[in-house]
Amino acid sequence: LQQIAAERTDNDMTYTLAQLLDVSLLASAQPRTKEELRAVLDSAPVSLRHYPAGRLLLLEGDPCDEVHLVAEGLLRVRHLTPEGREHVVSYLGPGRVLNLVPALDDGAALGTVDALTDATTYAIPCTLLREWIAQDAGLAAAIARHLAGELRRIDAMLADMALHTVRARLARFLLTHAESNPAHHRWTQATIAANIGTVRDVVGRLLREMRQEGIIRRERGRLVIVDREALEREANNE
Amino acid sequence: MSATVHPSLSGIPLLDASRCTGCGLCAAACPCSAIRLDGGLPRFSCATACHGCEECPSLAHCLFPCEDACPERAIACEFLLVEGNDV
Repeated sequence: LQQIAAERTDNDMTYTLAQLLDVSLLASAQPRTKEELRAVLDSAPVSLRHYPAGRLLLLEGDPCDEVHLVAEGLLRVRHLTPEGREHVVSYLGPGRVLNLVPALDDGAALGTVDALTDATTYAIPCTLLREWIAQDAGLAAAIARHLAGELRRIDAMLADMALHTVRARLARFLLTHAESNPAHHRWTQATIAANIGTVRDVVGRLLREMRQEGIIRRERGRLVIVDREALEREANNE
Repeated sequence: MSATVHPSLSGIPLLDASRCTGCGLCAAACPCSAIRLDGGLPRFSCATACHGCEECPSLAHCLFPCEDACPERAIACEFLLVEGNDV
């Protein structure tokens, strides 16, 4: 969750292509690769994609022939069931890459992807990315490091699901996402449930319990953490 | 992403009209009588009728009553997560 929160901190940024080549995975590419990349993206207007908030980009299992460098906005990757249950796997803000795994293993989309805000991406053909990786050791190493980081993040998420109660996970979520200076992240019981691996009804019941216990309180448009220490004990399964 | 505060943060629930069946359970669940059905859809007057559950002594266990009462999951109450008593 901390990882997710960290990933969401720069979401107000808007990157130009030149900036993306310096801040994204591609920053480790050799100059020649970057020049090739810049030439490809500059010469193909169709590579620049705009998605209004709410637009569906991909369904889980869809074939993938492009990776996307996120220049602006926020994408959400999640698993959905026909019954409407969902689990958010990641949020991808400016500088992040969508579809890296399918680009490497030639497989299908890992999750269903939608735009949470108006978003802009640069689309790169997977075949081209694979060619660049094959010829650029710096880029290959950067991608390996990135995937190692993703493996650690997902391992931590799995451990959290397996070892902590839903109440503890909710407490950790509230602690991680509560803001001392209210900003602009809007939550609902359903979106919290999708982030901690449960369903809305359970989040609702647990929030009511916490409210009865004086840990949180409801104000119009806000959920306020009143007793942080108690919440920290909950987060640690104490 | 825009940093402006969304109108729903005034406390007005969001309604997915495509899912709403007009059953009225949300109106029945609202402790402030802030919901009425109009043309088969709930209309919310939380901004004037609701004083905030925290201020209502009879609602000690109430958080999102209309959202929780909706069997079609057509209602969503958005909120900010805020820390502390002084914000």
